[in-house]
Amino acid sequence: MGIITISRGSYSRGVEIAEKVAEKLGYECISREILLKASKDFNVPETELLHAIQDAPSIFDHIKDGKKRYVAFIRQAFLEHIQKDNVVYHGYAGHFFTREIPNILKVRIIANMDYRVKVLMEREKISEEEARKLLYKIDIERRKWSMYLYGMDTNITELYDLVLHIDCINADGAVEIICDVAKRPCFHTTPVAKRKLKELLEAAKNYSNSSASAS
Amino acid sequence: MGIITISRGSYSRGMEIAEKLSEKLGYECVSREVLLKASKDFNIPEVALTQAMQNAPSFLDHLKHGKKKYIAFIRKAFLEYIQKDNIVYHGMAGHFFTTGLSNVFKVRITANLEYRINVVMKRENVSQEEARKLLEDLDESRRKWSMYLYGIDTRTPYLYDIVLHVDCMQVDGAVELLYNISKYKCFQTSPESQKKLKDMLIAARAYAIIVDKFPDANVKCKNGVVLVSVESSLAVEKRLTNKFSKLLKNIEGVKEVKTYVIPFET
Repeated sequence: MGIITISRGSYSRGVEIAEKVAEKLGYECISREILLKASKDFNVPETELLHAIQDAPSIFDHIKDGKKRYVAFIRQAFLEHIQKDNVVYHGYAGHFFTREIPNILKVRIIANMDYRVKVLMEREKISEEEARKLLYKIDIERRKWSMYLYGMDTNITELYDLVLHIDCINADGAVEIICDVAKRPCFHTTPVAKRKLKELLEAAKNYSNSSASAS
Repeated sequence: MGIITISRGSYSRGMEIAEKLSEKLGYECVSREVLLKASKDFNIPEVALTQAMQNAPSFLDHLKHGKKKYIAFIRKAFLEYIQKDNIVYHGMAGHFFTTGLSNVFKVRITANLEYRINVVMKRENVSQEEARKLLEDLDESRRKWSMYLYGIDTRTPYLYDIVLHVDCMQVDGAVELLYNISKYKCFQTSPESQKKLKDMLIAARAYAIIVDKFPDANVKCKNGVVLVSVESSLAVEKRLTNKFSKLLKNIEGVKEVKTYVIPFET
């Protein structure tokens, strides 16, 4: 009876943690499904939506608000999906999309740079220098993205109920902690939260419709 | 068998959490005791040490390194205190003082601004506007303090193993969760972590001795061998080596003192 959003620093084993949490709680685990739904509903190629939610804003985004429009489509698809309840969402912007909704457990998974470099080197078979450079670039892009759309860095702890550093705690420890917290009554979906979620979805639909017709 | 540091956003009920957690674990709960120890050991009024820990650096701090000196004294007292093990420390800088000690469970307790404003209004009997201003000033002061001394904002999540928001979880929920996590194997004191802590204490004691004259010195210790790195002229390398050796060789546990002079940029 709940919704969990997991924001993950890249190469911090957040996907693995989200999948295990969902399995343990018997919840649905979603991420890319949201983009696929938005792509289908609004007839926009998935890659364009991915760029909108992943990349730092370009000069054209500032002029044309293209990124904002695509993010509105993704937000609508996201809000529609989580109406079902019992969902673990991992990926971009979940914590921003649900800021006004009570009882949603918002988690961030982080790891030290050295830990992430190691994971990236192993996974992509690249050198330490290349891994460090790539992570630095990804972090900058994420920061610019969230500053542009929400005026705050995605690393700010105030956005989350729980931030877990997995260097020491490890993925399995993180899963145990998240499941423990998720079972607490304050993170169970209430009628008030459901109503708020519905209201936000209606507002999101109106916004998507108006921005689609304006384009 | 463990050490926990709790960094708390002001008016986020972190003290209450620390006290309840230590009671549940049967650990000692420490905060002001560290300042009292430093005050006694170095014969400095507690109020001066409190200011060094609490206030943003002044213009004079940048010139005279007064704050650095007092923090070095407090750090030494802190590390001496936690050698005892089974400690919950709550207060400022615990997470900075234990950087590199992975067995120390580092916690940060936060709350939303609105939640904190309510706590301030009730506790201090002030208006909403006054409470907001007070919290903004406190947060800014903490930010400047940590940026000056450690070059990093104390709110950065990477400094901690866990950051807990108490708005929803409440005090008892937070205590229960932290209690469970503190039992994890990775947060238990081990012979290796004790050895590392001992070396860290030796380095802190050494720095506290030389901080007055060499506030920018970098002091490290491994297996009882102290390494002092200091920026200076190569012409005085021998004199400095002898001086540091004489000053630091009698610290308990020191086997050898090495000096590394980084030549001034020409």
